Amino acid sequence: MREVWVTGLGIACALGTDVETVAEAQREGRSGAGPMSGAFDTSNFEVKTACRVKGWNLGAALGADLAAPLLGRADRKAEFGWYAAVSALRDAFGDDAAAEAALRSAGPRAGVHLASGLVSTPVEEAERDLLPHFRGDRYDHGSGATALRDSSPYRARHFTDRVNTLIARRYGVGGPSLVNHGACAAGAVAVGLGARWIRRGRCDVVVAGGYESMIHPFGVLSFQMLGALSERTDCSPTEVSRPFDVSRDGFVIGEGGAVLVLEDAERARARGARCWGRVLGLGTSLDAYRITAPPPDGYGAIAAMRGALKEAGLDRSAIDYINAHGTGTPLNDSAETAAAKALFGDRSQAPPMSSSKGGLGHAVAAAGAVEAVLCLLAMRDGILPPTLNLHRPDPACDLDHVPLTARDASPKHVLSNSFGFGGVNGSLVLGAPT
Amino acid sequence: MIGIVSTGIACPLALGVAPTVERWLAGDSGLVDNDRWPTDWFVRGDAGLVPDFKPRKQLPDRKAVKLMSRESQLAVWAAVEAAGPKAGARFGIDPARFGGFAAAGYEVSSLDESEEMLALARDPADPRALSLKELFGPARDAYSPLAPLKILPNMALFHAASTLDLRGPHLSLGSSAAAGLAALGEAVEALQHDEADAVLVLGSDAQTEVFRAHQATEAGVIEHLAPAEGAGAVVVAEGGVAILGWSVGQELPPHEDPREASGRIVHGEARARIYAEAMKQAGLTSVDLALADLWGWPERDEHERRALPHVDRAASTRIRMGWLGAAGGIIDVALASELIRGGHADTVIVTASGIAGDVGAVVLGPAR
Repeated sequence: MREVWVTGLGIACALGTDVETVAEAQREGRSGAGPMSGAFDTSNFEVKTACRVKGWNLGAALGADLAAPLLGRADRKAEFGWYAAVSALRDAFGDDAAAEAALRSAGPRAGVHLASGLVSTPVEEAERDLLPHFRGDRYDHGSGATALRDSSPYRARHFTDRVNTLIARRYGVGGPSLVNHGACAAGAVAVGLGARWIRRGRCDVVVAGGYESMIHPFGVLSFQMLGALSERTDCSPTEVSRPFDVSRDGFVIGEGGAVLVLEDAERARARGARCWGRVLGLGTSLDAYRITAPPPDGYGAIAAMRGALKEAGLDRSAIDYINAHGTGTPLNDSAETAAAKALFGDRSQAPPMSSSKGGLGHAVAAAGAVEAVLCLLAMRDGILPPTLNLHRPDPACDLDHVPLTARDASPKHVLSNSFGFGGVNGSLVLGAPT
Repeated sequence: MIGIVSTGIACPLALGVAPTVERWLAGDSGLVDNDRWPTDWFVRGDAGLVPDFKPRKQLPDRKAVKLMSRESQLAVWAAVEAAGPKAGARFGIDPARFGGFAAAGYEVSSLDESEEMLALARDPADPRALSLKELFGPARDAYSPLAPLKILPNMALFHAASTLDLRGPHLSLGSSAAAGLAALGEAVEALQHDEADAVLVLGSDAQTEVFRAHQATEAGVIEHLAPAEGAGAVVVAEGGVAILGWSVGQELPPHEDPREASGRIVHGEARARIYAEAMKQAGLTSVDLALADLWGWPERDEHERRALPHVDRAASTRIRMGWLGAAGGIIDVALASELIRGGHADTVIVTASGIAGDVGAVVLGPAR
């Protein structure tokens, strides 16, 4: 089996839009939360907080040429995905031309695996494409079709493989290109499976990650109706997301994108690439239980974590830190703690387990990829990332959840959990550079 | 040898494997007049609709049906035919070692669920504008809390997994027409690397949902192929119809946009390479039959035929069933498996490509 290096990182999330800003925010325990009213008027909506990417402007972030294929022709989440991919490729290879040369020369041995979230309709699209075509209470498909036919951007806006296609065309990827729809586990699975393609010899380089944005009225309404979001208003927005705390009442919606360039270690070493860390193992499992709730004993989570350790070839004692799914919903955090204890033992035996979602929010399909980047940065920076706003741990969440502030440590192997609606679980084992 | 040990099909030809094979061999078409929505404004009036499908009567959990989109309903039907009622018990495999890999068509959700909500969310003073006050008020009250669950992209897999009690590894891919073949290949690897003892591989789609049909039209598909719905399911395990080779990759999409394309990928070259790789893995230089990516569009089909020099006899489910999106690949694999099992072919290559440029091929044959 070949070793898989992470040679490039790209990220846009509530903590920042470049790797070092995000790393600093993690070290200093900063929150990316703010009022959701920055996205739309929430005066009639119970949920008031979101973790948005601040000051987002794709054109400014990437330059006009690279932004052009998406501007006005794709939704916000695709912009995050494309930005993160371009950033990661530049990080890995130096510039766009070198990245293109590397991927094009790899041809069919270069792959893309990205997680993409729900297709959902922002307000402006509803007003442009849907509402003008209502006759009474019914949508007039004939009128709507005529308008859509004349609306060239519509054609591609909702293709969830849009970012994959852009990467493939711009950089010349000829190998597998998959869009992962594994809900909140999708980002982790995309990274882990992309690494498998290299480990098992199918690819030499893979662009893997995830992207998501649902901070618009229809998007957050869906989660709110499912009872998943915190409606807390008695504190600052930065204090709303409270993983493992006894007062937690739901997650704060986040957004963003993260992409990792994965390479065969031998090839990467030969070209003198920097190693951010290694992707060692992936474990996945199905709960086959309920759509929006994990089984209380967390058997699916246990299976995913166990599978990741097995693929990594590591004993559980080798894990120095667990980056929890840790959404801050009452059900998840206690079930995840129970699962971790079942596998690793009680507080005296289990590694510290914190949640990045206290400051990052839940970036849904992107979460696993974003958190994989945070884990790599934690290993580089020699810290255990904190769980923000954890003042009163729930007795059912009784592991060392690294409350409030980052802790100096030297984690060499970390486990990152991502669990999703529909009972899908994914766990990644990441290793520090050797 | 890893192979396909069981199949399930819900497609425009028929509901069920046996009648599908029978109608396929008879040369029947599954295209009918589209009675789902008025088509006087649409580019074509026919569609590939699954006949005689009554989810509330035919699916195991009648209550769960109301939580399912059309494609999830079709997926569960096919999954139950392939592996039901409980997959582990039927095949003697621990549920924790029985995985679920799915390719589900997910681009634009049906408007049916949200039409009333949208109507109620309009600004009373300007019905062309959305009012957040109305959206978060009366519109929300009229919207079932269960409705959002229908549009989660991994719901076809969830419903199949919970129905069959699958607890092993998962993969949820969308929404390309080649995604099913990619999922099948990943399932083979999952078995080869001891991640599972069996994997249910699903492909499901409902391109007949009106907004998906809109989108497929804009992408240039529906002028050639009728919108269609369906699901295929296969159980991948040791034995059965052998999966001799598989390969997936990328080529330039046919609806090239000059603002996006580098123009340096030669259309067709990659397709031939991908098919050749699958044949090489199979150790074959020719096969009896191709269930090929033929659309009845001469220019495009010529491309496909050139990429398939290893076959004399090529047929296409797309022409007789319509555009099945993410469902097509696994429906074709299930059909090909049954043709081999029934002695109608010894070896079959199944090919598929998505409008985003992804291409896949699987070569099937008798167990060696």
